[in-house]
Amino acid sequence: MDYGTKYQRSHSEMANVPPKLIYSLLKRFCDPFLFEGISGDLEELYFIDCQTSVRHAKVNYMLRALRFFRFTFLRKGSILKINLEPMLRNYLNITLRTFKKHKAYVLINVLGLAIGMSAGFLILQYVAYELGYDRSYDRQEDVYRVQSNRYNKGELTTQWAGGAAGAGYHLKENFPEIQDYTQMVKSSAMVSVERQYFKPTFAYYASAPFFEVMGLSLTRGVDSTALKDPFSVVLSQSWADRLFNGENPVGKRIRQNDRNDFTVTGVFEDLPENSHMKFDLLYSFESYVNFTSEEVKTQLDWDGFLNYIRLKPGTNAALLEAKFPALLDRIYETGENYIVNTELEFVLQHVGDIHLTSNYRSEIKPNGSARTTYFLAIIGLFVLFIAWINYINLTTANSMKRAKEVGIRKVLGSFKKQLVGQFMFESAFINVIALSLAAVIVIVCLPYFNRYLGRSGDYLMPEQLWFWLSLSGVFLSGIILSGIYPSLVLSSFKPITTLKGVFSNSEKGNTLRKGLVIFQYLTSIVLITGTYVVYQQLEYLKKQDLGVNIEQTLVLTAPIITTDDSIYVQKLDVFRNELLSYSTINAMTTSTAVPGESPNWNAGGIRLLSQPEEQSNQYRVLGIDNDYIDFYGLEVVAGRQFDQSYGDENNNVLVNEAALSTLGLQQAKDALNKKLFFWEDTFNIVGVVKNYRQESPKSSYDGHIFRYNDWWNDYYSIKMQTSDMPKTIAFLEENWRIVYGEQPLDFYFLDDHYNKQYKAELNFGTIFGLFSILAIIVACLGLFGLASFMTELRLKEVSVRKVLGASFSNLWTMLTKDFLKLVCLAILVSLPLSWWLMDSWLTTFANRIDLSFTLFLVPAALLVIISIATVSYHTIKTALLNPADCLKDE
Amino acid sequence: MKGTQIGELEELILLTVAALYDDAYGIAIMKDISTRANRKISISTVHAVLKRLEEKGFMSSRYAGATPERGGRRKHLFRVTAAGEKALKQARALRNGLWDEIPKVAFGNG
Repeated sequence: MDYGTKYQRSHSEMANVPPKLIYSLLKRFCDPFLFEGISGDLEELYFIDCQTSVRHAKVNYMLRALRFFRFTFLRKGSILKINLEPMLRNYLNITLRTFKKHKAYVLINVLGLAIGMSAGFLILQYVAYELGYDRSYDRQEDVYRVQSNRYNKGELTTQWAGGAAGAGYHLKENFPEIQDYTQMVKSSAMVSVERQYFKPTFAYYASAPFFEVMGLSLTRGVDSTALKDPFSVVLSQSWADRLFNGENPVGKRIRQNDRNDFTVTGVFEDLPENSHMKFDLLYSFESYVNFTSEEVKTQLDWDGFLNYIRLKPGTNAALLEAKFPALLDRIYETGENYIVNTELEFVLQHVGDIHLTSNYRSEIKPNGSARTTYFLAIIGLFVLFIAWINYINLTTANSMKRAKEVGIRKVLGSFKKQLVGQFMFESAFINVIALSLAAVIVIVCLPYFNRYLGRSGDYLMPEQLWFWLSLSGVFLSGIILSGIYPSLVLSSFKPITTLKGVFSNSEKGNTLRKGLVIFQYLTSIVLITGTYVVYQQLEYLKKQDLGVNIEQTLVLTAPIITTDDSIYVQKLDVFRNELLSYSTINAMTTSTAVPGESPNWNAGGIRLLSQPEEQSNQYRVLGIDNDYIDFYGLEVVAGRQFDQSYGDENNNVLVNEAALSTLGLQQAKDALNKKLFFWEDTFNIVGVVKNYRQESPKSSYDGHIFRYNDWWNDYYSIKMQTSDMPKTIAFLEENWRIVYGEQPLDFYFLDDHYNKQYKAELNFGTIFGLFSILAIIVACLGLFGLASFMTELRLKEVSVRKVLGASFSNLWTMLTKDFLKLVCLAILVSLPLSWWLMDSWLTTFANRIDLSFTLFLVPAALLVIISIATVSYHTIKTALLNPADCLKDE
Repeated sequence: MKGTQIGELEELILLTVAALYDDAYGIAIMKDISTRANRKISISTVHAVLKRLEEKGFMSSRYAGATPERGGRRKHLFRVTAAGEKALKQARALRNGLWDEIPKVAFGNG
C-alpha cells in the first residue's frame, strides 16, 4: 500500500479507480525513482478524462500506460538488462543456420502457421464485429427495446421487434424504474425538397424523448425539443447533405408525399454501421398522431411500433420484466384494449443484444445470428489449433535430426534451461515470420472478405484495441503452445544415447504425434462434412416446388398517393394499359405483398362467424387484385378466384389451405360461402388457394387470407418475356415518368429478391467452405512434412526390403498404410460428432434433408484421396530409390 | 548522440521546461507543447525525452507538489541546468548563424 491509494479513497471520484492490473504491471516494470512521476501523471490525465467518460478514461489510461513499457523506463538491475544481447545474438545465429539447413521444414511450418493465423484472424474479426454491435456509443447500458409476443390460445404466433403501440407508455406509467421511453413507427413516405424527390428507406416517426432515451445527441438543434412539435423532422448528416447539398438545413422545409411540410429542427451524426439501428430521417411522432389519432400513443392492439425505454441506472431488467404479465392482466381485465385470444407478452431486449438474438417482424435492419457467430468463432480457433499442432508435429519429428546437436551441446555444458531458451527462440522466430506473413494475407484479403459478407470496408481492425490485444494473445499463446512441448522434448534427450547414434524416437512421442494428426484430420473432416451438408440443404431448398411462379417478374414499389384516390386509380389504369400494350410485357398485377417475404399485414381477432369468439386467430393478410392468382400461377383448389364478372368483390375473400384448420374446417370445399368475421366486418369466402411458398421453404406454411384490393397496393408486379431487358426497362421508366412524374422508381427482379432469403445460409456455407479448405491445406502441409520425416527414417528398412525382393506396390502400401490408418481413425471418430452438429443445424429448417450415409461418405472419400496424394510424393520417392544409395554407407 | 548536440524534440522540451520554470512536469510540458506548437506528443514520449535529457546532464529534477488528482503522488519537476542552457544557446547560435548567412535573394520576392 503506498500512501497514494489512501489519498485516492478520500477524493470525490473514488468510485473511478484506474485499471489496477496495468498499474501493478507498470509498477513492477518501472524504475521506482521514475514511477511516482509517471503514475502521478497517468492518474492526473485519467482524472481529467473521467470528467467526460469513465469508460474512455479507463481505455486511455491503459493505452497510455502500455506505452511506458519501454526499455528507457525499465527497472535497473532487471533480468532483461543483463547481457541479453550476446545471448540473443547466439540464438539468432544458431536459428538461422538451422533454418538454412532445413529449408523445406521451415517453409512448411511458416506457411501452415501463416494460413492458420490469417484464417483465424479473418474469422475472429468477423466475430468481433458481430459481437461489437451497438457497443460503440455511450450510455447504452440502460437502454432496452420492448419486444412484443402475440399468443393464440397459449401458442406463440407472432413475434414483433416493434410491437404494441402503447407498450412504452403503459410501462412508463406503471413502473418508476423506467426513466423514459420513446415510441417509433416506420414511414414509407416520399420526401421532396424543391421538387427533387427522394425515398428514404430508414425513415421513422419518433417521439420527443428519442435522443434522451437512446443516449444520442444532435450535432445541430436541441435534443429535448427537436421532436416535440408536430411536423418537425431531424435528419442524419448524410441525408442532410443529400437533401440540402451540405448547407445547414435547420429551419428549412421538407415536403412529405407532396402534401405535408415538415420543418427541419436538427441534424444527428449517422449511426455507426455496426448498430442494429439506422435512421435517415426522424419525423416527430406527434405528426403521426396528427395523421391518425391520439389513441395511437396508448393502444396495445396496433402492432409495428418500436418502443425503446431507458431504465434508471442500477435497475435489474430481469426483475422488472417479471412484473409485466401482472400489468398486462390488469390492463386487459379493464376491457379497454381487449382482444379475444390474442395474449400479449412484453420482453425486454438490451440494445447490445438485439443484433445477435433478435430476428422478428419489423426489425430496422436484418440482424445476425448468435449461433452462426459462435460457430464461426469455434471454426476460427480450430483452424488456428490445427496450425499449431502442425508446428508441434513437425518440430518433434524433426528433432531426431537435431538429437546429435543437443547431445553435443549438453556435453559442452549447456543447461537444460538454455536449450529450452534456444528452442523457444526458434519457435518465436518462426511465429514472428508467420505472423508477419499472416498480417500481409489479412490486410490483402480483408476488404474482399468483408465485401463478400456484405459489410462496408471502412471498419478497420488496427483502430480497435481488441485487435492489438488478441494479436499479442495469439502470438504469445502460439509461441507457448507450439514451442513448449518441442523444446522440452528436445532438451530432454540424453547425450549418451544420442551420440551413440542408436537414438530413435520414443514410443510416447509417436503416440502423441499420432493423436495430434488424428485431431487435425478430425477437425478437417467435420468441416468438410459441414460444408457439404450446408450446400446439400441449400440445393434441396432451392429445388423445392414453390407452388408459385416467380420467373421473369419485375416488382415495382407502388407510387405514393399524393392526391385523392380516384386520380390514383385512373393513373394506375393508364399505367397498366400502357405497359400491357408493349409487346414484351405479358401481365401485371398489384398487391400488398409479393412472394419472398412474410406479408406485412398481420391481423388478429379473425374467425368464422360460426366460430365462438375465443377461437379467433391471427392470419397474414394479402390484398390482391383480380389478376394476382393467375399472374403468380397459384392454384385454386375449391371455389373460384377473384373475377371482374362477379361484380363487386370487396366483400369476398380467399383463404389458403393452411388457414383451414384454424378456421375449424376439414376440407377445402367446406370453406366456400362461409362468413369470415374480420375486424367488425363480415366477408364471404369464395375460394381456397393451394398452399404455396410465400416465404422460402425454410419455414412452414402460414395461414393466409386474400382480400380484394384494387386501388391502394404496395407492389406492382410485371411479367415480361424479353431478351432485351434494358429496352423493356427503359420503356417502363419512360411510362412511369409520364404517369407519375418525378416520383422515384424502385424496382427489383422477384427471383433475386426471393433468393435473398437464402443469403444467410449461403454466407454460412461459403465461410464454412473457405475455412474447411484452409484447414485441409494446413493439415495436408502437416501430413506432407510428417511423411517426409517418417519415410526418411525408414529408408534403410525400405532398401533392405527392396533387396530382398519387395515390389514397388508392396512398399508403397506399406508406407502409406500407416498414414491411412490415422486418417481412417479420424473419420470414424468424426462421424458421430458431425452427425450431431449437422442434425442440430438442420432442425432450424421446416424442410430439411435427411442425414444419410452418403452425406458423410463423400467428404470422407475425398479426404482419403487427398491424404493418399499428399503422402504418395514421399512414399513413391522412397519406394523408387536405388537401395545401393542408402545402404552403401553402413 | 554524445556531446552537447540536441535533437529538435529535445530542444523543444528543454525550452518548454525553461519557460515553465517552476512547474515543469510531464503533463504541463505535454499541454504546453500541444497548445503552443499544436503538436500531439504522448505522455510516455515526454517522459522518455526528459529522462534522456537528465542523463545527458541538461536537466535536474526533484519531486514535489502532490495533489489529490494525482492520487497523492508528487510531481516529478524538472529544471534546466547550466549545461542545458549552454546546449540551448549553442543550438540557437547555430541557427542564428545560418539565418545570417542566408542571402536575401534566396527566399525570392516573398
